[in-house]
Amino acid sequence: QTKWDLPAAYPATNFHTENLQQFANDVDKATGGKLKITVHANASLFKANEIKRAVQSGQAAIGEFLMVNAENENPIYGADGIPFLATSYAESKKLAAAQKPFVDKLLAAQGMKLLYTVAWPPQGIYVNKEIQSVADMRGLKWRAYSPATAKIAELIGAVPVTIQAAELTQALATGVVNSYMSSGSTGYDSKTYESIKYWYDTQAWLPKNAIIVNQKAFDALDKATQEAVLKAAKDAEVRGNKISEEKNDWYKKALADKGMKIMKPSPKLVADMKQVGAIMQADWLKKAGPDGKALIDAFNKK
Amino acid sequence: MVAQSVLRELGVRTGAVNDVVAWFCAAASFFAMAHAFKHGDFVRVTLLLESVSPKVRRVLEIACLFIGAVAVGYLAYWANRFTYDSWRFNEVAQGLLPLPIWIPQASFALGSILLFVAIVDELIIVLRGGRPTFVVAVEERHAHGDFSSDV
Amino acid sequence: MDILLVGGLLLVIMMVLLSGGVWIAMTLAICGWVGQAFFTNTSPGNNLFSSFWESNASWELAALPLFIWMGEILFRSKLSEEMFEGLRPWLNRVPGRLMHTTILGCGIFGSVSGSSAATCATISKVALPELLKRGYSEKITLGSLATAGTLGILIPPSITMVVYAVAADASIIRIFLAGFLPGFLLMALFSGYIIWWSLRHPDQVPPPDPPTTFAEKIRLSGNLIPCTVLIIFIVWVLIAGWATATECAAYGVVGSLALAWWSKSLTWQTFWDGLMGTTRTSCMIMFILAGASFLTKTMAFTGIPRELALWVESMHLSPYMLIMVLTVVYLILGTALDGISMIVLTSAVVLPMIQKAGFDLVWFGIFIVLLVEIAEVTPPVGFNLFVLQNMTGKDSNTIAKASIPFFACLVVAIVLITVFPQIVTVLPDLVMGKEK
Ligand code: NA
Ligand code: NA
Repeated sequence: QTKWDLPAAYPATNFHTENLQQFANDVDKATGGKLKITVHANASLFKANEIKRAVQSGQAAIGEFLMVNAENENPIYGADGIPFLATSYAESKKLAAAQKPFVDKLLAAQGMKLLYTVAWPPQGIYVNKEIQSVADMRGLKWRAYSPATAKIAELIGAVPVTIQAAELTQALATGVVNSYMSSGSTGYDSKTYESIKYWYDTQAWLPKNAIIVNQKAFDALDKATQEAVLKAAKDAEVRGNKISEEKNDWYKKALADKGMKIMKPSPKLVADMKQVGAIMQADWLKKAGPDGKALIDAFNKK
Repeated sequence: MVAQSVLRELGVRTGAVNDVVAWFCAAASFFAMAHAFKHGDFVRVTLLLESVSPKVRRVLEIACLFIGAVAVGYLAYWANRFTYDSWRFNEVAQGLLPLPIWIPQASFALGSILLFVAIVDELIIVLRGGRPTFVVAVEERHAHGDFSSDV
Repeated sequence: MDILLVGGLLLVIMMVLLSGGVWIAMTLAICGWVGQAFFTNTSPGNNLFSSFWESNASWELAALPLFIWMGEILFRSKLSEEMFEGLRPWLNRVPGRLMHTTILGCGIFGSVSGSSAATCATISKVALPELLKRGYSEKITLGSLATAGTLGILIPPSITMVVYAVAADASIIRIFLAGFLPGFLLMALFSGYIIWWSLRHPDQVPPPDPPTTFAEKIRLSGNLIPCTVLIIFIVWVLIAGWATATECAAYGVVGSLALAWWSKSLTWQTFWDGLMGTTRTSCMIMFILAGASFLTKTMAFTGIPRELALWVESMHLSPYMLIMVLTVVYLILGTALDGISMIVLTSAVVLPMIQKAGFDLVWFGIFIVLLVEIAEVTPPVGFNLFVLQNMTGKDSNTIAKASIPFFACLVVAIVLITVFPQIVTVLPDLVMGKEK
């Protein structure tokens, strides 16, 4: 019998974590208990930004990380964080397929293997006033929590404020920040609706969690168990993305119930934001080099 | 060193301040490990040590220092190895400041070596029949009525 | 091997190393290593580094050295002298008179300092000679100083709370806010006891100072201004919430520096001493936290806490029973351990259990801080006892005995917050909204 520990960064009740647990149960059942995976939710085993390294060095056999978080290491990981490149679940699926061979290559070089990815709900803009265009967003106190969100702040002329996830609710309540970009689930979990009344459903991008496994740990399994893991991973990917889509609708409704106005962005705002996206895509291409270009081409072709 | 974080706090806030402050505090504490150890700031239960005869106490001190030296030697070895791996894998910090992670980690690698040296030094002092610096330092400090280091 | 047996083995190793005098941080790490090397298939060396790195290079922890520094600066300033002068004229008519300066002084200093020993030492430095000179009962004075000094960690800011928040992954600000009301409650209990005692022993309370005119009172109270400004500043920053805990600490440091400079007690020497002391103290705490974080990883990999929680669950203890048992365990631990070690040693095992039993982590934080306060005044190891032993030359057992009535007040406070958890939760809920 083999035991794997799976560090995950999100709370046990998050749909990603629930999906991981289901995956672990599936593997357990399919292998007749030969491979037991223990999910350690809420960054209880390793912190979010240590998980990838922990899998690489064999501290944990398997783990889940948010791919865009690794974009400093290689821009390829950040492809699903380019605003307005893939803006729906269908396109996100296409992008995942285009991204996969490149991610596989990067991970293989570090002794890891990609099992599957699941998208987060699409990112919208939380803001404390009605906005018609990017010009209305100048001077907003904008939460920047990643290189991409900091860059957006710069491009739209907002003031970037760095706030840790744990301090977001308080920062919103006291007006330290009055706008940020995230999915409906973040806004719901952090009670953004108590202080901010508008959410613009821009569907800017759908970041993905990747579930990776240490190659050595994987190779140490017998053939049948390997097959079972891959099969369960495939199911988990389909299931996870489906739940994600359902959750997206559920969160939008839940936010509306809490008094938040779910806004459809005006054509002008969309056009402006697309421009922001184009600049960021160009920047990204410059950083990502030929691999990046091949990735985008593969995405556009299909 | 802490002063700098305060100055940053009051000055213009740039995006990566949090990471830098965190690394900075960590680096300061890593470098200070050896100093704090020698100064007697590392807490331990001295109940038994203080109730036994000086001879037994010396034996116990030697045992503790030996265990400490092995443990910290192990720590120093892995700290350097991990940092070396970070450099080899070209690992970059996540977050707003894409700094190679081995640079801040090196502070820990170095600090752990210093601590190892300090413990071995104490071990030698005690083996030669002396009293450990950290015991003397605490006695002196408390004799002056300075309890500021005790939480 | 049965998992609980592994847990027992680790516990034995820990006991042996700790009592033998091995440094606490190293003991924690060694136990963690034994657990990982022999009972899991992860790589302990890499995990050891990760633990140090994760637990120390974190933004939340940056508040710790700042709060420590703030205390160091104030400890070396003339703040306590000023406070005593300012409080004196107002307490002449209250039963117990100047004895209340110990409680009030510790309460006030506790709202700017995060350490119990520093609070005790700072207030004792001034109050002890003044009170004994005037002929107040030595027993009550010592007891109240030793115990009221622990208000330093219950009333925010508090280094102990920062450590707990990091260990429990809870919001620092929330726990800080939760500390205010229990702090006031405890002060009221202490003062209540002093009043009750004074009414019963009128012969042992010296006559009042010569009465002062109202104008004189106001003039003397001017001494309280700098400290009041600093407190209002910190409390306001916390409640208005326009700064995070770390920023709040940074502003506190600047405020204390300004205050020390204003009272002309800031020299290069004290500045430097304070800075060095801070570095060493925070280094010590971070080293312990790292060791504990490594042990926590072992716990997660082996699944010991989960098994233990199941085991406790299988005994069907009621929540109150669980709290009773934990209180006894912590009281015993507290006799020999310092507060921070107590928290980090137990958090990996106890916190999952507490959450499973349906207790709020913020509430449990205050509960554990109250127990740490008790630990500070229980022999043989209690920092406040050491402080007073050093200042008076009295044996620490004598001081501990003098503390017994106040110790009882602490126990009453624990019972009260257990029966009425709202005392703890109402303020954070009010300011930050209910937790999800
Ligand atoms: Na305090
Ligand atoms: Na004690």
